[in-house]
Amino acid sequence: MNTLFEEDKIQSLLAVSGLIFPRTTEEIEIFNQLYKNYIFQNHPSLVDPEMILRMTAPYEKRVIRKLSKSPLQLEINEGLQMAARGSTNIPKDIFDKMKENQAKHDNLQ
Amino acid sequence: MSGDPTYTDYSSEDLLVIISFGEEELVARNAAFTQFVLRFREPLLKACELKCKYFGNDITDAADIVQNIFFQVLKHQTFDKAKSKIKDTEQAVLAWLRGILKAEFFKYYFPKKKFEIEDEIEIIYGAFQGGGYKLIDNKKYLGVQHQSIINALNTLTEKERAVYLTYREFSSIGEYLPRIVRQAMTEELGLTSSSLRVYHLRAKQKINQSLENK
Repeated sequence: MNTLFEEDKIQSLLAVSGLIFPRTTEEIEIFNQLYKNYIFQNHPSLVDPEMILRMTAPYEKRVIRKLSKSPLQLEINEGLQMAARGSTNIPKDIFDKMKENQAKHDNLQ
Repeated sequence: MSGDPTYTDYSSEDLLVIISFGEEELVARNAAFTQFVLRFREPLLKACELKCKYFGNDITDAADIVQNIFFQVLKHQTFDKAKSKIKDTEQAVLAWLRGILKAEFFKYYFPKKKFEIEDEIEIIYGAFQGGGYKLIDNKKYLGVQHQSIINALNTLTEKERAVYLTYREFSSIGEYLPRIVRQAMTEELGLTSSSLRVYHLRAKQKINQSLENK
């Protein structure tokens, strides 16, 4: 077997790719680099310490949609591929198109 | 209690100690907790959103799940550096949080499954050894490897992918899933425990084969 793909490396690749949760600060840094141009939908302010201090019980999912019955969406978007290739100067029209595609994709979910 | 009411200079371990004071030191506890949330909410939220997206779940679940993580930190602060195998304290805190993240992610989608104390401890302290990982630091190379692992995962059936990624998430040091996770998987996928292991083995073989042939 190719030594590049030992178990640890596979684990790391899954972690930095977001397929499992990143485990170290180093993996989080690479995760951030890989998804630098990815537009996250949840703003950090949604996790509000004041609100958590007032919580009396954990949030519960109202409509249960179990993990294993959902299709795994494993495609990576154009922005991610470009970021992964190190393309930091993405033209505005391409970037806008990426955002538009992302929005369309998210609306379909 | 402190000259710095925002606790920005405190280590995460120290913040957790102050959080554990509870309502006896309410003002300090709340300030330390606020600092702790501000420090970790973004990486947790990003990781959670992406995981929701990859697994076909509603991405707005991510904020609820991350709030639940911090709720657990507030109510049941159990971090104990002495129990961690990781030398670096900040990394140990991160590993501990990751354990709670996994548990909360699981609980959110399987609310009827109750984690028992030993399950949580197993997940939090057993699922990560830390250190020693030689990570890829070349972005171009990472892009190629990232695509390779995605392609490899796409050679698996839906069940195999679910089994494989659950094993990778929960049993990074071995081949064993926490009992409660194993039960949920067998019920959800209609498999026995032994066939679950067969699915895992087959998925691993396919992944290795795909990566070798890339």
